[in-house]
Amino acid sequence: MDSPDTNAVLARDAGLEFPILSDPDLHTTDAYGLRHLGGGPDGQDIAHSASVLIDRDGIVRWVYVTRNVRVRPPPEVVVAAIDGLPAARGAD
Amino acid sequence: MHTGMFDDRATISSSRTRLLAFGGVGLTLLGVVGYFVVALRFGAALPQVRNDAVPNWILIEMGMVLSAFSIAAAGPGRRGLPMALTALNVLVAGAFAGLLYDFSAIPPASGPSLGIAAPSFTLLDQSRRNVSLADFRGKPLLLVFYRGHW
Repeated sequence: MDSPDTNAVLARDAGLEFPILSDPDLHTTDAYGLRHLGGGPDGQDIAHSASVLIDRDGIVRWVYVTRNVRVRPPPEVVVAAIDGLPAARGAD
Repeated sequence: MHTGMFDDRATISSSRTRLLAFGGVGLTLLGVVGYFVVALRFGAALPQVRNDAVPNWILIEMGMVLSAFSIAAAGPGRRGLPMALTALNVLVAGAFAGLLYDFSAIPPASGPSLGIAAPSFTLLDQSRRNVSLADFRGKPLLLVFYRGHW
């Protein structure tokens, strides 16, 4: 929900090379069922911390939604989910 | 002479008690304060520390053991300080548990169902370029929703 400018500062400071998207009105967050009502520092709505893995055909294959603001999916769990995706069609 | 020896032993025992009692609180505080230092500064690099605080709970348990020893080591009638510091130790550990598991808990959200077509989107990236779900067709995509940078 941060602005593109805020995200640009974050990407630069943290050296991130992947796209960081801005969803200021939370439309995409709502479409994914991830609005956290009143979860922001000033009581505003923000997104739940979540990871969604989408396969080559645009199908949702794995979802991790945290129940605790401190907790994120362990990297090996994410990698295992990615490894579990079916290979590209015709590749095997 | 006899009395003098007894006094020496009592002094040694009470300084050992004090060392154990303060050491116990010190270890617990190190575990608690260490969590916030490590999780805030290196949380991204140490996900297991951030998620489960395992080394911190080990320190806190060691602190509890020292507290228990301090009470056991105290002579009769000299248990006030070790008991008070042990109570403080339990309070600090309880507050840490409350902060970790209760205060930072959030209501559940289901997120998208598995097996459905991911909802499409077009959003601005950090360079103000439009990025759409459709751009990633033919490639796996990991979407990470985060709570904002504050």
